[in-house]
Amino acid sequence: MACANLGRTLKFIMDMSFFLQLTINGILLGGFYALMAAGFSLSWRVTRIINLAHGEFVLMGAYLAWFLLNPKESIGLDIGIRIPIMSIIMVGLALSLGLLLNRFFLGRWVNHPWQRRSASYIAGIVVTIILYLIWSASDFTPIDPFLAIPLIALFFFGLGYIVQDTLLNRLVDRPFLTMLLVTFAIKIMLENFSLLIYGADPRTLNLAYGGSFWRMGESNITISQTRFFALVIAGTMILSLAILLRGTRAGQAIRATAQHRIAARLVGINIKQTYATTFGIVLALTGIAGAMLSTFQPFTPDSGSSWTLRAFAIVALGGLAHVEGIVAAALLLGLAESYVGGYISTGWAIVVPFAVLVITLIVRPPRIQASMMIEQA
Amino acid sequence: MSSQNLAPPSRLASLFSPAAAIALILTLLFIAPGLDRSTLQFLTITLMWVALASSWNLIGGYAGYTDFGHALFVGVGAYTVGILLAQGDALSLAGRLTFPQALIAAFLIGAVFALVIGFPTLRLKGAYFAIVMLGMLAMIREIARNLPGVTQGGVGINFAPPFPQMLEIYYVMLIVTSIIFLTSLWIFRSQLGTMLQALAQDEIAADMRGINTTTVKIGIFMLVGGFTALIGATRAYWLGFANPDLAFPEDFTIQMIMIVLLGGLGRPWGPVIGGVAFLAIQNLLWTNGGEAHLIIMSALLIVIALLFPGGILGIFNSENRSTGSRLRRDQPSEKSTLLLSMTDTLREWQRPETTNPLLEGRDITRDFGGIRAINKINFQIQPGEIVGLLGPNGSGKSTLFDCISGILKPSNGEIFLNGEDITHLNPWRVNRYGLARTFQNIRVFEGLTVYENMLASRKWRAVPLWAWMWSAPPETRQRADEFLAYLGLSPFSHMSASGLSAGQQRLLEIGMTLMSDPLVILIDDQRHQSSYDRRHQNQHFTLESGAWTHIFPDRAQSPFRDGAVSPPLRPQLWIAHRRRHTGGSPE
Repeated sequence: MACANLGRTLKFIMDMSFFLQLTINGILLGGFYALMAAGFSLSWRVTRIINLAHGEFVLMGAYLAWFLLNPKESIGLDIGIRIPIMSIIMVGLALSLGLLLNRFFLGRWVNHPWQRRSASYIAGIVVTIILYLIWSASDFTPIDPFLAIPLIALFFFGLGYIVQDTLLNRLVDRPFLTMLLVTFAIKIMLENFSLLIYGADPRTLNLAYGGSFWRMGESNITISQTRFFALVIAGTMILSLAILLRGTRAGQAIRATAQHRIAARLVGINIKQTYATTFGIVLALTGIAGAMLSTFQPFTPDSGSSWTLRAFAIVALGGLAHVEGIVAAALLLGLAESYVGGYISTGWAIVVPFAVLVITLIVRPPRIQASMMIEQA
Repeated sequence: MSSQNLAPPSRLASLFSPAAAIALILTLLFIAPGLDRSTLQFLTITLMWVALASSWNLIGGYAGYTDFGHALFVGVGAYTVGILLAQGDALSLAGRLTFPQALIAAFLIGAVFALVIGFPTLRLKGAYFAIVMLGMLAMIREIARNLPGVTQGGVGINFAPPFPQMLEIYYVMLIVTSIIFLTSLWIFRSQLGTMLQALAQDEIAADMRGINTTTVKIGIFMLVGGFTALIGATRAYWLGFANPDLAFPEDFTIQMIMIVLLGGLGRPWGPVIGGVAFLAIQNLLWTNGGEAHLIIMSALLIVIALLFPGGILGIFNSENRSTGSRLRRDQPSEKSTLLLSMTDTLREWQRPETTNPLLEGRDITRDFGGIRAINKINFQIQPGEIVGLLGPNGSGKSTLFDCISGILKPSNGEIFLNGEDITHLNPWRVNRYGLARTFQNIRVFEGLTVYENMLASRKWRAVPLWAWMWSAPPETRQRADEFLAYLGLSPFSHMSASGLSAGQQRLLEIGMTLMSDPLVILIDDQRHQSSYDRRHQNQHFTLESGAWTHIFPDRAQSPFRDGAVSPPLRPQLWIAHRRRHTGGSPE
């Protein structure tokens, strides 16, 4: 009698701890999702472009993190592949530094636009070369993805600025089919590019602390360290995004442009530049999300669209209006995936985000449709 | 009268006739036995892409619903034949059916899937539809992977041994492609094609012209679902197996769309031309570019999407749909004589005989969140009356119109048309009860020609479904011709409606309301807008057509403001109040 009771209690405790474990995993996953979807929703809200290549940019971040952690292994790659990657990274970094210097720092000292521009880009190139020389002098020490965050953010900012400036700004007044096709083409392009370079095998980062975790007291509940760090980074990034949008002049310009493009232009905001900056920020967030992803999950070149659809599901669930909505929806999705994976099977957990996307759009379209009405007007 | 209007002018028309299509199909049929295996294989692949693109074109091009998950029907077809013809006995049916029977089953199951999927998703528009379908494809693929009892999971289904010969596959694919292509050619020339084009242009306006948009789009989606399942079934039969990744190929979508775009979106020959061009390019890239060919292809897609949105056919055909300044010089000369006969006809047309109010509103109220846009409007309009609806800006005139015509549902109150309660009806149904309207911001179907605009807004009441598949009957065409002549738009018949001036577009819109033979016409219009450059003619028209009941709203305080002689607005209906807050927040 007592024995049976004890067994039941034990089972309950086991169930409880299993449940708690799933909850913790779900929250950790949801934090990462929030970071990933934050960029997606920002570019959608501001530039009105639904970026179907979003997941590929996430993966690009992951591959960049892998490249920085395994430069030796990359050197083992074909030289015809290594040199292009290295030069792409360096060009992106140099451009990004130049852009930032030009827009935000040198304005105080150098007044003439041409002088300022050339000074900034030359400075960007010089700094990049110095960074490369330092790295090569240290015999290409592996760079930990968490330490590489500033570098990754910088590279992706430049990349986003350039992509928006050269390509995506052309989509602004086009029919949505053109927008979807062009971003889908970018997706295919990036996917096949990484397939060409890295092959179809899943890759993982071999971090020293990759498998380590904290145990909660005496229980079986564990918290993976990398996932926890990823959550912290995600929270920091989302907070700083909110501060950037609400507290700075650039953020004000971005929000004004999101509200009404023409009105913003009339009060003197450079729309194209604002869009480019926005997409730079978006890709910086996305790249960081990718680097975080690489620390706790294997990734393959063809898994990009599942990330895009997840981001979409989160936006559909949380709405475009507030960052809070995105965070809540991301946590919800993370929890749902975790519970389904724990109680049913991991196979069905993959179905969850797609089902959430489809069902949310079908059952509750108005909130998202309202933003579409603005598009049409 | 204007017989030249009946045939759309196109220099390419003779080249792209149905006869040419049949000749092409027969050629492909008879040359087949003499070809070697690799040529057959190449032709089969080409046919498959033409078929896929044709079926995508029906929903994405004709109806304007860009489906980014279309490959899911490929998978549905593949799994249907897979389950029916599988090795072993997963189902008791297995092995008892022949391939043609399985094909028919694939078509039916594809159509059923399309019905189930399309019913909820086709309510979404634009990019949202595209993305929900992308999600749907991923979801169904993963579900297929997780149901080993039905689909044998990730391993997939292997087909039972009698494997088909290449020639057999070629013939099956040719037949499937021919059916799809000829159907799309047929639909393009039928009234259904006009309906679909109208739907793609402006769904609300199409709805308001009496086109049952829900039936049309779900119907076409079912047809397309069945067609694509046929292709998927044939492909799976050829491959000999079906597994989730192969049966639900995500990259098919982009290639289908690319083919359609390359050839010409929304044109029946677009997929054929695009398919041949696409495979030629792809072959070239395969031999030279190797693994990078998809990268080059997608770069090409960006270029096409940005620089040549009309595709190959668009380059050749752009002249036809130009602004038409060339045409604007010849003004109608035959107008005066026609006008006489037309006005007689107009007088004779149905003057309702009842003395009951033709249109009646009781306590119509509409709230937007906390804002009450219109509050308890009551009116009764007798047959033959012309009523002006007046009120200051923002007093809710257009909202009242939207409520009457079914675009908005009133929060409270009832509306009767000719004794029938139309309060909760959809716009197309309201139109079929005999109410037509114009829109304040002119809504003609800009991508259609003026003549097609008229045909799209014909009287759809009592037109049976099968008649949709035929072209418009002669009396409808004649009627369109007469109205166009009456409105002075005959010279522009085959010009794209986007090339008309605002005043001409307004006239066209009035012509479109007349086409549906309505009891009541609501003209939502600012007086000075419609009298823009054809003031004279327009007034003449409104005066003479007094047989109908009209409601004019007027943004100006008085219809006589700018000194123009206005139509006899006898009883005037005023909305006097401004918006009121009833508490709560606006939507």
